[in-house]
Amino acid sequence: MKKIYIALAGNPNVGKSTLFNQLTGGDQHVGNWPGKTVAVKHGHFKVEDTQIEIIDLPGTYSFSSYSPEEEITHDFLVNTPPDMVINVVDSSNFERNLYLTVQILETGIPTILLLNMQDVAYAHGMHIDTEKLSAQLGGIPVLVSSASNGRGWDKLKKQIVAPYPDIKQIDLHYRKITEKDTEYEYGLETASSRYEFISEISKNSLRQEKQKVAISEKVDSILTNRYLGIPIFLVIMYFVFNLVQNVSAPFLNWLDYLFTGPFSNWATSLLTSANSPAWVTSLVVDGVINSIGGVLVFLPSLYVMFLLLAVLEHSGYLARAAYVMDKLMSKIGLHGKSFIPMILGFGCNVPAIYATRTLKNPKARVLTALLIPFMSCSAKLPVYIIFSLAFFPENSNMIILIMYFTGIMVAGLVGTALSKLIFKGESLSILVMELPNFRRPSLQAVLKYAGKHSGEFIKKAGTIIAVASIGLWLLLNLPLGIENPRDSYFGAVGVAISPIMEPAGFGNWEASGALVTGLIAKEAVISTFNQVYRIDEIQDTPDETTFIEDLQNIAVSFGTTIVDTGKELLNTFTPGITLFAEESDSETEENIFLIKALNQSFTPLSAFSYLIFILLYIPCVPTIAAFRHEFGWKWTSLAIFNSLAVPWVMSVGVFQIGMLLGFG
Amino acid sequence: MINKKHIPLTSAPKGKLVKLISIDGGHSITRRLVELGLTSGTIFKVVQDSGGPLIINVRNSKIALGRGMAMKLLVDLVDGEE
Repeated sequence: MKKIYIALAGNPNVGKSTLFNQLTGGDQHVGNWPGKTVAVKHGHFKVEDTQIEIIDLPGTYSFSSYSPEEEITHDFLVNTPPDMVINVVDSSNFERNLYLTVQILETGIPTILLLNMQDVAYAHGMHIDTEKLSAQLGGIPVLVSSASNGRGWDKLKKQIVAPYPDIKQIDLHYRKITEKDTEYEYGLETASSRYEFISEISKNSLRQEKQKVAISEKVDSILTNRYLGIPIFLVIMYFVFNLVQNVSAPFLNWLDYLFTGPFSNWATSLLTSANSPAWVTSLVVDGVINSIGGVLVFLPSLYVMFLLLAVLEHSGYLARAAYVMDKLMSKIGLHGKSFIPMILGFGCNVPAIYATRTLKNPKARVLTALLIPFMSCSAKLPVYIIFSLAFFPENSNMIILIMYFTGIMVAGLVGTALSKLIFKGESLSILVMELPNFRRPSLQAVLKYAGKHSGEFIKKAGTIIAVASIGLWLLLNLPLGIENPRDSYFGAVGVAISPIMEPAGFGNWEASGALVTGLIAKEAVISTFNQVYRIDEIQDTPDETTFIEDLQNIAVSFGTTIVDTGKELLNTFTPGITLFAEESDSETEENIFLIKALNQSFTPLSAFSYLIFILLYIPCVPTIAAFRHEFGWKWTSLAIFNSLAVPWVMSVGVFQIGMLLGFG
Repeated sequence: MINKKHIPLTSAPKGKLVKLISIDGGHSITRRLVELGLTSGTIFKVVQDSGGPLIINVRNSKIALGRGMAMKLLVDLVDGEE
């Protein structure tokens, strides 16, 4: 059994990861390069009787700059060379991609050149003569592929195990470095020589059809147009949010039914037939099942959001969005690239914090991360939905939009303030960003991205929320023997905090207490209200169903869910009659007891100021953990201070002004 | 010696070919731009300018450049088709 060790190298955005995943299937693991925060992926696969170990090097444009990715690639190839390198190239971006190729060839490691994104190149009217190209590069194997439809992989696998041809090592005859040269000047000179060589290659191997280029240029000039750019972006974002909310709603309801219905019933039956005491049943059903269900219920929304983000990113659109937003971002001292982690923050703050790693300047990274908590994460959405249905039933959609918008406005203000106060107004980075050619995202890659991030979220959030729910259940039901939840430990905490919230209009122990549990996970806010108001006791007891009937119901409701999802999908693209009216009725029905209870503790104005507080206050524990992990305690303390001071000031302001204006 | 023909990239008309003369930037950013294909003598063009960053098309690849940086690229106008 032969064994060989391969490295994948190439520019960012060339489909390297898609290839890696395609080759290794699931057989891979991710780690970190020692001492660095750059991720490294290892994997295995087999071709005929050869075992292949493959490593995915970070995407780089060269390996002589000073970024960690480039250092890693250079050190790796020079100090621990693999048996072979597969250099993945974006064919439509040919010349610039070859710069890295030339550097790789200079190391002497056997290399296969893979001209990926053939379909994109073809759409741009580019035709590459692979034989001429191979000859000019010394005779190395040159293959073509199209990541998005998987063409070319088999030939690649065969080439990997085939004997490597004798090649002529290319030698660009750089003049020797002398004492008079600075390393910098010498470096620039070598870089220019490489490009001269590449220009020659291009002249001989690349044929360009003129008219095809024009179409993609036209599309781009519209997307990046001074006046149209931002509106187009807003329209796209509107569709994204619509899809996330409406298309996931049927699944959301189905999961909710699963957990509050069959799962709870089965658990209750099992436990009662085992003669377990009532408090155990309550702990398991209310504390654990319903709370975990409360988290999982939002999985469909998250999944859809990650799917759409992946599509936007892989297609190349997000780079245009970052360009278009750059002018606005620069007013806060950031640039367009910061914008992408912020957009992720609308899904979940945790991956957004980690996404700031793509920003080179450490100050820009911190400032961006400090603003991410103001990007209203999807976990807060259920709170907005319930409260807006309870207090603003006619305008619930509008209220929710106002929340998101306010978050962005506040981020802008806080960002400007922080930028001036802490970073002394220096411009934090210079924008140099590639706009990759548009390409059709590979379905497999998109699904994998969404699956991976959703899975991570479930794992992290699920474990912490389960623990938090049990903790909450304990707080609510201890000390033993209390009748009124107000007398529990939870009530005590709520009562202690409520004076601070008085000026903001919600100085009652229930609301204040829910803010505390909201620290653990924002989804917990609603489940807290449910537990506090003892909603489950007020609701009707469900009909007795047999296990078989339950299974049948689950299957039927799943089918209906699929159909409803399809309907919503269609509705998003045909702004006409929406089925949303039905949805909100059923949501209102299910939560009618909660809504009644909330009306006892809030007025519309105080509900609104409460939402403002929820929008802006401390993100959940996993987010804080991610923040500390990336930036340390000093910055995390600032983030925590921000997320207490700003929401308090804002919600007090909103409430007091509202009272003055007579909305109380 | 300043050659009157040389203009900063920010003054180059959109869509017209220009030739790069020099980059007046710091070491790491200059090196980065050179490695992305902006070598002395390279012919490229500005494809978008909305008052903020520029988008240039160099060697078939589109790159967004902050305005401050773009001002430090000196170019000559070039006649003719690509």
